[in-house]
Amino acid sequence: MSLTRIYKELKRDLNDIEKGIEEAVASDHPTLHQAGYELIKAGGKRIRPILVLLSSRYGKKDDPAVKKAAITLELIHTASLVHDDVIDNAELRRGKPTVKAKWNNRTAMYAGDYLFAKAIDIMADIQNPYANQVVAKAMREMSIGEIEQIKDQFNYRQNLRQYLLRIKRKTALLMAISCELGAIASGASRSIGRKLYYFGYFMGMSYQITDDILDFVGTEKQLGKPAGSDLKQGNITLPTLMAFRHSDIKAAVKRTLDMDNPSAQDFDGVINLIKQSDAIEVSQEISTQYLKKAYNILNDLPDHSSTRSFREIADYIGIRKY
Amino acid sequence: MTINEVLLDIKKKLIHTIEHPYLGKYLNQPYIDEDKLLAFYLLFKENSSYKEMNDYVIVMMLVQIALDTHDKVTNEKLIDQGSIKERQLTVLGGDYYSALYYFILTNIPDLKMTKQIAGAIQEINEYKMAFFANDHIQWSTLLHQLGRIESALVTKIASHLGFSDWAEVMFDYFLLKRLSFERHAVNSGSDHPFSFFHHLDILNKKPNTPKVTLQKIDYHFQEIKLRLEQTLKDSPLFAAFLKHCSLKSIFENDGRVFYDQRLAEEG
Repeated sequence: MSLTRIYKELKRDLNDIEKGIEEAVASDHPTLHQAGYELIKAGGKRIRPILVLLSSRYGKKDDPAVKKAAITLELIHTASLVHDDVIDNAELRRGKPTVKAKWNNRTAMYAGDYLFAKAIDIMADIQNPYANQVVAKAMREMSIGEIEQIKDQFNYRQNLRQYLLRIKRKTALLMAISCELGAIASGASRSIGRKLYYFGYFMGMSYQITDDILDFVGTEKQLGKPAGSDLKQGNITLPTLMAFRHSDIKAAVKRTLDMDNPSAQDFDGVINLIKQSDAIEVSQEISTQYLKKAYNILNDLPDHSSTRSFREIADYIGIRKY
Repeated sequence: MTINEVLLDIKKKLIHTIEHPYLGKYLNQPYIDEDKLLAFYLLFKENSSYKEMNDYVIVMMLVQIALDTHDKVTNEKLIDQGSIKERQLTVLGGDYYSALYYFILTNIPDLKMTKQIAGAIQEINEYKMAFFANDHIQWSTLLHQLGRIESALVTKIASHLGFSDWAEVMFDYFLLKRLSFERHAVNSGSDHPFSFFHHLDILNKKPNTPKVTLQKIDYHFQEIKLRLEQTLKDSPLFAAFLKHCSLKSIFENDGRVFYDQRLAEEG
């Protein structure tokens, strides 16, 4: 299972969006230009533009606002990654040096700010205040979510609700509004827009939980970063929270997180404990539940080529391995 | 209400807007440039067609605070967990203030103004990149870049509101203010996170001696000050600004050492 058919179907529109993104990262300053260009050429599945394009097909064809919305969301996603790499002090992203590693933190900050501003600039071209409000609200929520993530680092007392709210803000929200914006920009009904929002939301939740599981079970090659990075950085994700139902594992994780300078071996020990418990399986089940909710929304949408494509995307998320 | 009371009221609302319990626990309250607050207030007041004038002033200040916050993210390698957390929250704080400005503007809603601001932010970041990428320091280039970094938001909004003639004045004033700050930073030998010259020296690994830097700053300071004094005679709006701005004393009493609010607030 892959998204090849959908990429093929959307090829022409995705090419236009790619060109739009390239134009958007153009800058008078060579380093800003190069950093932006390398970021967008580093790959990425372009999930958000795909969601916008598919959602737009419930409305009228070829409204230029649709592509602008797609470009905006991809730029916001890219800008937030550049800043995330400063926060995480990350050297590699998708196997390539990050902006902060290749240049420095300042360059990463200014490149990220430049891209955020570019995104807002393009979005403001869409003369639809509600669409802009949707993006602005999501950006505010995303930044609050990022702050909450730092607040919850090394906090083994956090609960499932905190985790779910955090991944909603971190990932699911941008996917949700990608679906909603496609509908809004193409003039589809508000009711379709809301349904698509929830489809994107449930799918985004499942996607992030899978990401958090893969951080434990994936290889460095598959992940493009060392396995177990989340826990090593103090980020308590769903597998760890589920493993906490076993008091001995919770005590072991707590001991490691409380150490002044825990070694890689210390972490490998608790990561193995989590992997050998039922935590991965239980997390997988929660991810599947979210995906089921996403499928239920699709059952409520008109029988349409995009509904079928969304089903394929949900299938892909359900089985993805990296 | 007097102008000072109005400005104080806006400042209180601004402080309330940027309040975040967790950020507040680890970061100092962001520096609020009261001269920029004054400039934006006078511009919107003079234009008089914006009903939510105070909201607009708050939006502009949020943008400035977001930009200033990210200037504090340094390149040095950190080991201490407290410093690492402070840096992480500095990145996120800037993003949060930035998201707030867009959120408020879209609720007004004013998409034209949104575009103006987004354009100014792009320009400022391009100038910041250019400033720090200077391998061979030419003072005229540096000063131009610094002036644009400090004033691009005000000048862009001034033009949008129909006061293009303010562009040069604001460029000079905020460059002068920046130089006054840099002078204090160099003079006190501090590695203040806001000091652009300090970071520039680190990046170039061939610092000017403080004496040379001070001499150059003083020379340009006097030059810009003279230019502004000439402007004063022809611009009633600038005269109104000067009555309340933080550098007013240097225009009243030549040679007097002025107090730099920014350094005092940042400690």
